[in-house]
Amino acid sequence: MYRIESRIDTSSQEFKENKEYYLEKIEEFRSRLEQAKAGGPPAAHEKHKSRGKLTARERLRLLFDPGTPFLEFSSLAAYDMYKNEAPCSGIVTGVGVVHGKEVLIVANDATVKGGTYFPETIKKHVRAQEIALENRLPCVYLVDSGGIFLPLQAGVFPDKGHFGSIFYNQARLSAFSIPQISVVLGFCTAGGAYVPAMSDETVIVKGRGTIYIGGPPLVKAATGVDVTPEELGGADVHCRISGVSDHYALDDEHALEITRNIVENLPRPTKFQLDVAPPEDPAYDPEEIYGIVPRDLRKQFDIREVIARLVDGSRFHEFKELYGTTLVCGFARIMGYPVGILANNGVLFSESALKGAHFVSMCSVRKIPLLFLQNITGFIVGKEYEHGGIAKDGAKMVHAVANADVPKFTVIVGGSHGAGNYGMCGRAYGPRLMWMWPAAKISVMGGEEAANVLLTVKMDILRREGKTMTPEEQEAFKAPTLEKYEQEGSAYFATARLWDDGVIEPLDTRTALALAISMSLNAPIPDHRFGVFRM
Amino acid sequence: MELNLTFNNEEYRLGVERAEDGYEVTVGDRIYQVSVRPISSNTFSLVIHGANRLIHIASAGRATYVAVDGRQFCFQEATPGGRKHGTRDLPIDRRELTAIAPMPGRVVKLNVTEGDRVERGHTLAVVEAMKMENEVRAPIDGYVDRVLVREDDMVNVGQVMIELKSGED
Amino acid sequence: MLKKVLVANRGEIAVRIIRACREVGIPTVAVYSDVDHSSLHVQLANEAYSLGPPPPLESYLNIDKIIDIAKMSGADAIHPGYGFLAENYHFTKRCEDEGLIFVGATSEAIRLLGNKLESRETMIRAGIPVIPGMETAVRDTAALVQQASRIGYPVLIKAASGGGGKGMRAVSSQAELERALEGARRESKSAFGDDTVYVEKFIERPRHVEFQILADHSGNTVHLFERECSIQRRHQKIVEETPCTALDDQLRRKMGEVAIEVARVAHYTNAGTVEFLLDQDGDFYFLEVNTRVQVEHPITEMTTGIDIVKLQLALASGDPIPVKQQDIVPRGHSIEARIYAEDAENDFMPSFGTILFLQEPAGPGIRNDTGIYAGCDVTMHYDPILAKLIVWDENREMARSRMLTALRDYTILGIKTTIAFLRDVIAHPEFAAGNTHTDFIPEHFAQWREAGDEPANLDVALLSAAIYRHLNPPRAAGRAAASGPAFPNPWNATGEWEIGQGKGAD
Repeated sequence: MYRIESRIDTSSQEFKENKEYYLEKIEEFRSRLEQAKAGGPPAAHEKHKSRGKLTARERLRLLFDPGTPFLEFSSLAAYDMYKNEAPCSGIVTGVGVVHGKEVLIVANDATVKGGTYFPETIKKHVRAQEIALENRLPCVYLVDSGGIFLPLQAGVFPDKGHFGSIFYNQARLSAFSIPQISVVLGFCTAGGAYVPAMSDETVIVKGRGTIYIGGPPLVKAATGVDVTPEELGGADVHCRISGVSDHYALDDEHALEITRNIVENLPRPTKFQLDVAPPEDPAYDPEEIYGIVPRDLRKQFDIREVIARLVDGSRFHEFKELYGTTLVCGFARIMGYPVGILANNGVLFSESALKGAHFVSMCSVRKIPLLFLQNITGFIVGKEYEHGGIAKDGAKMVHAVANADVPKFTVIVGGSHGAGNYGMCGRAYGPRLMWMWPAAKISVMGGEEAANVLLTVKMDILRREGKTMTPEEQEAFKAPTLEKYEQEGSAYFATARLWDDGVIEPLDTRTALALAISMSLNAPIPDHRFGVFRM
Repeated sequence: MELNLTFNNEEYRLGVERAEDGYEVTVGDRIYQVSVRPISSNTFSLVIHGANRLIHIASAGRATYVAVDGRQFCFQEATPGGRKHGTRDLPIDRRELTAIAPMPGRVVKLNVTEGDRVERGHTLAVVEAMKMENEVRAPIDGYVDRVLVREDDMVNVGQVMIELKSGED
Repeated sequence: MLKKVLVANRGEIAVRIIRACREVGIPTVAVYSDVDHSSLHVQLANEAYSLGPPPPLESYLNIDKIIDIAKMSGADAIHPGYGFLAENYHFTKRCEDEGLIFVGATSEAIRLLGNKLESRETMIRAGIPVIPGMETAVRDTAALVQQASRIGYPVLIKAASGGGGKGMRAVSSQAELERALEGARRESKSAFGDDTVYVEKFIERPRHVEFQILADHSGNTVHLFERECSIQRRHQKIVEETPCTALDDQLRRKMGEVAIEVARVAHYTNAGTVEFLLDQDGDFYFLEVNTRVQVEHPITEMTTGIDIVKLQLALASGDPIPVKQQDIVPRGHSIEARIYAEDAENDFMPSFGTILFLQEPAGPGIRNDTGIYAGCDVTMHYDPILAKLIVWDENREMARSRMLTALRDYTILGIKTTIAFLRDVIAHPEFAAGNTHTDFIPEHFAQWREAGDEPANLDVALLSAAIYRHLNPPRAAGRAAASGPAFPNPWNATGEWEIGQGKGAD
């Protein structure tokens, strides 16, 4: 394969300014991440520790093999929501390594409102199960939760995708022979009691873990009987009497040791075999990405410069380089794994969309994972293009992407707007994992366009009434829309609502992708199947 | 395995293949049969076509330091600078002598006039469409031969905007 | 005997002093700046204390802090090494006032000899030959111009409180003088905080010859013969040898006597060095006295068998000189080559980094005074000297050959060093012929490039690098080999990693 030839001038003013700007964004990201990972307020931590319990993250480090990666999802869920009182949405999810096996974990953080479920907590829990299902990953649930966050019950209880989905998913996962293990390290009340009850194997900690459908206050109210939590549903009850739990642990450390023993005895999955090559670092310094991505995302940049800093040896076998040039397609390797890359170099035209559909179907037939690098304002508009059938050509690409059953991964590196988001495998198109870079933006259209569209509509109405607006009035009319789009378009707004699986630094992207591809191979890649393409 | 190393601004293409009792190493178009006797992690003794050489070697990042008979060499793995790849690495359209519009749109900025000296990668013009600004860059080192558009012109995708001639002219 | 010695220095000289103290059973205290926390001198000393941030003014030049550490640690003496505070009479005075023994001359001797004009006047009064030049410093440019014409061109402008070539300018005609004065003043001001300069006769292609002297508190003074230090780059010595090829016995005796006279005039104590310029006619002129142990002291040790640093410690504690002049008989020939972390192909720019690999030469007659080890960092904060390679043999030609062999065996990987340059200097036919003078480097090595000597060597180096990279592939692949089968699973090969921890780049 030929190496991409970089044309970046790393000594240019532009490069330096971009880099400076992006490094600030990275600083901001890291401080927000750190804040989210810290969990609940200090008082809650103290209370938690005084009970002899470890924090969710301490538990995970004990569970995982030392010196192994942890690919965490949506650390900034619920960021800037609920007055920031639900950092990390009170739950840690991700994939780590236990006895050399990749394991999906879901861990309640009891320092955040007692580990109760906010809407984003449930969304994150359910999303983790979806990842486990798609990638055939054993699940470990570290349970320490008071159940639903009662003030928000309407948003979390009854609907599809709400609390009930967690147990539905457990049953479905089990039907796909995916092992599930619960470790009860604290409260596990009411509906929550089904988490351990529906698992293959359950561990419970003496004196701290409790499982019951109705807690002592409910028992008292219903029957008038006083009962302690331990008597009602402690470790002794469930390991010796009820059989709800299988393993009796003396403390957190012991429980996690037992859990490691359980995983040790799970069968080792055979991964789907791709044609793997020896890994090779990119030939260009990945840190140069910071100088390449412009401060103003309206400025187009050559996405090949980014590809050159993500893939092995910066080697890229480009497909249809001279046709539909606003979509760059080609083959490369990431830490030895083959990938087909689709990346935006401008607005999507009919040619670009056709090229994309062709390329996606090719990767699908060859069973090569797909990587989408999004920097897209949308499909081209205009009379000429509508007449040329941009709608049906765009549809072909959307169709191909939707039905491509190879593992798909999406990284929003710049802007993500309009139907471009769909064609480039946005959240709704089932990417196995999807990330945004800290300075990326996502919204139906750019703020400027949205404001202009609204202004045009408004001006039409005024004209019919024989009125108009001064330029100042026009700016004032546009301002709130611009501000709203600026705020709602940010990566943080998106990730807080789980429109992705997390914000990720450009320099972590390569490692994250390699881990993700490897993880995805725990599930077989099915033969391709497409529907009707409108020609 | 293949790799490119630079030394004193020269790039060397190297290949290593396992052979009967050691390696077959190619340096440019020269082929060496080498057997290796490791002495420590940074020292080994090489037998090259029968002659014995003691080598001290260490690497950090992209740099590899080698001492042969008291002479020291510092090689850089040929890459990030990488501006010197042969034309083999050049995509086809970048060898052409025209700067074309990457997309339909309006020319919002024109940075050059006829006769200007340009370097590969310089921004010649900016085309804006659908709120995206696209920089049109010089595909080669050379001179601006003809400018075929003016600011505010509408251009179509693939339209030749600027013709260049190469540096030798 | 001294009870405990604080070594107010770093690098190879600190190591040298600590080793000497250990040999005579004196405990040592090392001081270090933050970047030197794991330096060799810190590893070897009995105690070590931090001086704080790396800038010299805050660390190795911080008199208050060093005195505090000496008192706190119970040291009764301070050895300053060379450079830093070694010739700062304020520091010496402070030691004297605080009741600490300063291993070196008295503050008064250091003050007198540190002032070039005053010492010159003193020496003229005592009948010591000096270079024709100004008797007094003047700030007035017109007076300087007049003086220069009186002395006759070419003249040399020098900084009154200078050293190490800073502020020095050779001027061949009156037309150049004013601009050169301006530059010299500016340089002197920034280097020494004093812009007083003077002019003197410029001697063409002189040799730099110096005499090692030792003096005890009773006024007994001996010399340990000469060292020739003409091989200099940017007025700093890089190769030194003894004996000097240009001296016969008569001249040697005469210069030795003058050196002892200089020490007497200055009431000098402890070890010092009297520097002379020797012109092509065999006339010599007093230059200055270095009131400290010299970088190049080992070559004298090799030929005389006297350990100068140990003797410094003995003299400082009040012992008399244990030898008489007539008993000091030098034998054989010794050469020193200074190994700097510098890029000789690029105007001797300092080179920083980590020493990845170090192999030092060994064998009969080879001595290596060093401050480095494999894995240590060479930082930008201090003088870039790494080590001194010293050889001894029966005669000059044998010593030269031994030096060439030893340099060939000296391998430092990871930073640029002057080793290859030194080999070419020592191998040069003019050096072999003994035709050394202070313009030797600019004259013969102005645009030096490391010779690829045999082109085959480059190929050997290239193919070695290729095999090495093949055996030690970059990180990810390296772990792969450990984790078993054909190609790695990144879950096993990545190591500890999380998003946002800055571990993505390496």
